[in-house]
Amino acid sequence: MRIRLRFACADLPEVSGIQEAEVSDGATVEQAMTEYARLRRMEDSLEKLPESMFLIGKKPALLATVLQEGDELMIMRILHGG
Amino acid sequence: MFGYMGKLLFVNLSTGATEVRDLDEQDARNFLGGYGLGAKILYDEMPAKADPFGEDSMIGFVTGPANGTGALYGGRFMVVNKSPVTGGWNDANCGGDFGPALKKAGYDAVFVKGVSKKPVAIFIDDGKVEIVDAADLWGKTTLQTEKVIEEKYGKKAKSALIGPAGENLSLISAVMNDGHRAAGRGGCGAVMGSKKLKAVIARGDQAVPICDKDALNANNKAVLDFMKGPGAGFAGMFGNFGTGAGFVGSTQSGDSGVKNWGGAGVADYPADVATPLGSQGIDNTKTGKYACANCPLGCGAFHDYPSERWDLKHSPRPEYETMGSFGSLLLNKDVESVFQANNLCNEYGLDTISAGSTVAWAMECFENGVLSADELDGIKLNWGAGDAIVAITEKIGKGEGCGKILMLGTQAAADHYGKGHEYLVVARGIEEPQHDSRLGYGLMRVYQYDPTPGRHVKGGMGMFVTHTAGHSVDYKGTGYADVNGAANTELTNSAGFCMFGANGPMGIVKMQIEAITGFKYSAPEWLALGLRIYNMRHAFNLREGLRRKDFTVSERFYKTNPPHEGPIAGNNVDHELLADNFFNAMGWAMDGMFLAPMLRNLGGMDKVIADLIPPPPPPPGAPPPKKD
Repeated sequence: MRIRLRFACADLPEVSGIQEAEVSDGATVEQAMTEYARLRRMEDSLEKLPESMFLIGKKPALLATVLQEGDELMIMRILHGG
Repeated sequence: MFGYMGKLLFVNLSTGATEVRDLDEQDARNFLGGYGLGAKILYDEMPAKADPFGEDSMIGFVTGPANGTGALYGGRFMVVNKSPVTGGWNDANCGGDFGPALKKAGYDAVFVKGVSKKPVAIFIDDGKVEIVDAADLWGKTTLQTEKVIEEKYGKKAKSALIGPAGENLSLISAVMNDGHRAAGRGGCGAVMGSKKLKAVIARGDQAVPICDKDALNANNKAVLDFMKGPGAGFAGMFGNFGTGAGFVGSTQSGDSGVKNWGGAGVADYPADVATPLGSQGIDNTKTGKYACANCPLGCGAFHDYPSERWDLKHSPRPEYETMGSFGSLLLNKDVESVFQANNLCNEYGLDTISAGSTVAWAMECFENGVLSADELDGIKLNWGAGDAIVAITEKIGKGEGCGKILMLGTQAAADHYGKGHEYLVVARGIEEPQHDSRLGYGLMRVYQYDPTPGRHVKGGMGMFVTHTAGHSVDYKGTGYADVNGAANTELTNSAGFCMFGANGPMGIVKMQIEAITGFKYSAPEWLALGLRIYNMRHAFNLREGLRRKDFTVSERFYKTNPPHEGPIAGNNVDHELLADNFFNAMGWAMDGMFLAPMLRNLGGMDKVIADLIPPPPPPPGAPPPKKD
């Protein structure tokens, strides 16, 4: 299924903005991220997944949340800033 | 004594008297420096209930042992005073070059009391002290003032000074240095202004004695190795993009304030809108980096931002807090106006957090018909109106028209107009910084009950715990985590380190302080040192008569109301339970008063015990105490 990924991660400038991705039907957030990272050769970035926040649409999601066709998944880092 | 110059300077501006005292080594061991030492001195020297703008009121400029030693990240000093906003303890933390310069001029701290009849500056030249006329500086902006000081005293002279906002006793005015570094919060600029003190100028070449230079150098190497290793991501992000590196994400996660804390980024200020203002969005206009003294990160930058409305050449990059308070908080996507508002705050000497928040409050009042355009000098302060934001900020900076009221901050403005209280977002009168406590719920206790309410640079659980909508929060055990976090931040700040630097090799602050000072602290002693500092700041408030019930916060700190959308929709933080846990772990009574055992265990708090802890009742049958 196709989903949209929107990264708001200052440490991942190479994927800033909206990305389209093809992931397995019924994939969870974690599975979708793993598949996408493998495709983009960003496996190292996965280490920080638990430190991220996810939104599907405007609603919070967990790593285990199941995605639907056409969902927009937003990935955000929790950061301090002065 | 290592790590210290061993001298404290006391200046009375009413009499013109100056006094140099030796720094007591036990005080240095017990309170370290910065606001720890500052709290000890002000508690001892400043009478309770002093008018913050009166003769007895004191303001201190206090370095930490790390300043001037070459310890990486060790360039921050503290301004300490009684806040004219909260009526309680105030400290504000600042980088740049002034802290190390003050030590090189021969002093660990300068404490000023009294009120001068005319504008003056304190000039410290390699140990010598002179109160100099500053009539020619009064009324000048911070940049103009620094230029005159540099012409008169040379490039080596560094100054902590106020702009017109501080002179006008604006309650949101800052103490500034290096053009764009601000000890911003709690109204410290106004306290300096009330004394007619335009600047403290320090010049000198004295060396700070260091106990173990090899260990200091090894620690510095460990810091640099960390930045290339486990901390590379952090260093790359903040080194390249500064504190605003995560601005876009923060607006969407529910961290940044949106629409005077009544909105949500995902609905009202989406990523597409936030992106051009974030550090990455403006990066192509960057002309160079800026770093505070001894900082290997350099989270500052200058930009030539193109504008036909304002001269934005060589503008400092807005910090994250400023992007939030003049950007998302106002639904402002006019990037030029954020740069210009930031420049105005720097030049007039305003705290950008409170200034932006004050504009946000006025904006929500205007949008809801509570304040009219007439009451705002004809300015139509609609959400996102960049030109109007700049116009109103300039009035605040100059203290002109409606700016005379708004320069007092949101609480005083609402009280003056007698309306708009429902749109206040304040903790004991201090506006909320740009990390939402409904997301990072650990911040809630800090914002409400730190001796300096409403601060993002004070410790506790902070942003380490987050609360997203629909997920429950477990408040069990928060007290000890909160106390431990608070103590550690006290140590970082009081030592003169930047909090970004503490995000380095494990235990680096303690290692550096031991190398610099030669003091040795066991782990429990180190924790006690942090707690002693915290409790001394708290003692200042207790002696002022402040108790838990006096530390009130606006509802938007802890509660979301429909139609709030996004990651924190529906969140209600149990702020009183967080406080109960913290007070218990601290060993305080539930009203915030000290309990004797905790204070006695800490040690070094004899005067506080004598002042605030009633003596135990005599045993039954004991003779009545003798009267002198």
